[in-house]
Amino acid sequence: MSDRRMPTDIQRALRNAGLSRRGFLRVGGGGLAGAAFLGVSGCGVFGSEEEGSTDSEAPETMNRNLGAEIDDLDSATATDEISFEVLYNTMEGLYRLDPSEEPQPAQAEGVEVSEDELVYTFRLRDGITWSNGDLVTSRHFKFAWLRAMDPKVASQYSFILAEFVKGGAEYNAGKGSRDQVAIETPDDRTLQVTLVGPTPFFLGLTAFTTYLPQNEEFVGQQAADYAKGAANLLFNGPYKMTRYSPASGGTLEKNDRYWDKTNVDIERINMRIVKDTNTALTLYQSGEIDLTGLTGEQVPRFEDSPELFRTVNFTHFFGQMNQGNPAMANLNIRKALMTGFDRKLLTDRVLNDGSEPAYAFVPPGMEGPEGQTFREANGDLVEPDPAAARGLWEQGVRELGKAPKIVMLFSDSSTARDIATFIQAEYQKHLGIRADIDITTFENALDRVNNRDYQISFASGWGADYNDPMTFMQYFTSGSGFNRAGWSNDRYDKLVGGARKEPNNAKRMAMMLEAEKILFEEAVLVPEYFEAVVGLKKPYLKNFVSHPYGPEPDWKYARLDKQ
Amino acid sequence: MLRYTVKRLLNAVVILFVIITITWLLMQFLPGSPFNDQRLTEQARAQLEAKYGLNEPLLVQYTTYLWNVIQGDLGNSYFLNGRPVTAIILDRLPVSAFLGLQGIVAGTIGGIALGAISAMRHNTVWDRLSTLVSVLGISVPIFVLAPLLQYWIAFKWGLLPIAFFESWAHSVLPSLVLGIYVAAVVATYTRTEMLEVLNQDYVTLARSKGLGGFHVMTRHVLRNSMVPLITIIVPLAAALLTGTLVIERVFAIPGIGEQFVRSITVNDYSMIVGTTILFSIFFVTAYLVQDLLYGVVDPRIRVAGTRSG
Repeated sequence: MSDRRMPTDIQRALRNAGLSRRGFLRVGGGGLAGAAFLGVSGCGVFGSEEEGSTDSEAPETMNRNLGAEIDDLDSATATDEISFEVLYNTMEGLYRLDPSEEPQPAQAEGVEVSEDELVYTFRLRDGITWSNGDLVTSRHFKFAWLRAMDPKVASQYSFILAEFVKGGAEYNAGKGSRDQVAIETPDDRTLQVTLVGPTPFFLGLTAFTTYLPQNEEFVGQQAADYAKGAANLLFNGPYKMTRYSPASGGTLEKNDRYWDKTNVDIERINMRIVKDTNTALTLYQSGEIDLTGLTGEQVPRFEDSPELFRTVNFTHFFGQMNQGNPAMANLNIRKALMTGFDRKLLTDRVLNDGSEPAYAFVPPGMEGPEGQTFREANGDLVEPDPAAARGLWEQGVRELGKAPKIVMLFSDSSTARDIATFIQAEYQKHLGIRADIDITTFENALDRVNNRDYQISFASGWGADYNDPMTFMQYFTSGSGFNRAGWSNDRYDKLVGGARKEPNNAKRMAMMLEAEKILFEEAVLVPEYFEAVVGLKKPYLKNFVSHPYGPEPDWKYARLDKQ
Repeated sequence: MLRYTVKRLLNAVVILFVIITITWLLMQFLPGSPFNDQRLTEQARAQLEAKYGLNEPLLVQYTTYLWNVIQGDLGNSYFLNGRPVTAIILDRLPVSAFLGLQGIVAGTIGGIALGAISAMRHNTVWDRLSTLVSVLGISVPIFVLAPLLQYWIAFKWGLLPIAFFESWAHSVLPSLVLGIYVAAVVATYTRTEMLEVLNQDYVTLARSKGLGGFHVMTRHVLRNSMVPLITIIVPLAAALLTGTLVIERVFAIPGIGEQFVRSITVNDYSMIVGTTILFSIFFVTAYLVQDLLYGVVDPRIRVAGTRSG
């Protein structure tokens, strides 16, 4: 019976609605009043109602534009640079990079390295704690590292541990067991790691996000909620996060439990997300943001500004040639494409953002033999001589019997489009050929390169994970999971493989220097440019440290001098 | 009326099912996969696919997904640390809906006023002025209008916040941009319709009976011009409530429109289908509301079954 009544109620309501048709215009008035009410009451939609939101005008607050969402604050699975920045500033590994990229003791007070450079015994600082007061122990490092290598956790960055820690690769591949990974914790302050081979850059690696510790008990309690919000995380770094919304950013506050808090100056960092580069610039000019990135188009307006900053990263954008393709299998064709355009024109006229032309594989500034950078030691490896390219092309065509059609794969960003038309015009001019441009989404381009469904791809680059040429040299080894050029060379593999096992740094550098030369004798890649990060920062933001690789910027060193 | 509504609701469920199925199938043809990082080795990719069940046969994946949707679980995002899709939507939708609602209401009222003035002062300066405004409102794209108003109103004159979404004041400028577009569309339709109604015999009759100009306009002319307006406003409202990419980007607003576009570019499958389901619900509901509103405005367009109720 009662369920018959409901419908009549609805009917009455509908009939009433029918009655109100006389005053249909009033609905509009009602709607406006409703909207005004929503506006006044806030309706819970406005960001300022989130807990821990802060006054961005405060003199001790720095406002930073991240430019994209904070996707994942679980250090075991994080992959994007935004999450890396937050993690690096709120947590701390055994070592931390100083402003000149030298690893310095951080959560560890020091390390003992065995004679054969395989066993690292770290000693943690006394009394270091998490933001909830728990002691940071060596178990927390072991737990986090094993978690990142756990095949079920499926971390994309697991390789950065598994490649180096003995037993790691096997465990990560599902072939070995957890117990066989050579990480020992004899006591709460001692962590002993055995490596696969001598790794002179290992201390620098321990600063990387995947190497950050995690509080085992806390992660266990949080289970699926871990890292989903500011309250679902613990911090042991210079800052703690008090507000975290993937969509609108977060707030970092100075961590008063951090062991080196006296050297942390900025009280609060307000991390905003502005994706539109023009809006970001307007906000910067109005003073609402203290630091923001610039696009190549925006740079000329600020060329002479003292607020402009620029870092050339250890990131190389290069073309890779699929040697499974008959035309790309020809050495002279590859050499012609490698030398057939003017890189200086590309960086000066097309990119115009401070990026540097690339005449080799390993970026300038990376570690090299004693007293030199790798680049200084090996110099330029590709002749900046597009004019000679035509002869190479014609030679290649004779060898192939006919001129091959060249199709260049690009991603669909506006920069990529500019580069595409530039290289096309250069090839036309210097080689006399009309190369086709194939533009697709970045995701699809990566997929096609993975599936070897391409001829020559300019869709991506490679950035260093650590400050050693090995992060680049391993790319083209035969067994490498990253080598999608299908190029294989015994001598190269032997040199790079040898460098992985060589404890003497001078010798291993010599091997890598020689290996890099092979890449250019064989014309394996088409170097384009070393990417620069350009931005504006207010003059009152001092000691800004942005490393050319890995997580950056490091806000621990920055100072704020707002009057 | 009730029977009609129930029938429409059942219809809506079928439509939703078809939409889910088609979207899900189309997604299988999307180039690329959610896991496409350059650093992703074959091994890591296999681990990720196993973690998210992407290594299962398609039929298993589809039925699992459908079963979960029936239980109200739209799955987890492949990005954002595996957050539930429903949580992400609930986080972002209210923001877009608030902006859209405010824009629609203000725009409709403004548009009707503009159109009415135009029609009543037909062929005068007022008419030309309001026509010019509405033509500009329709033809100047939002991605031009939004930065322009942002630059002058917020940055140069400092009247409103430049960006972000932290108080009601922050919502005014983006809603205004939306509202201008809505007003322009509404004004054009209102003007055309009113001019047509003005020539009807019953208007002449009402006037000859000595009814006042304002009375004739509001009671007879305007109301009878409403039908085509509902036809355009309702779908427009559904579109605006679900967020606009451009507005959300320019004003750095964490809304659902921006999230949806991002999920497509990164192949976040569960996010794409989840948001599509949500948008479909909005549109299906909007059309239902539209049909009911027709009856309210014009008794001649009563939907079938109304009288029996």
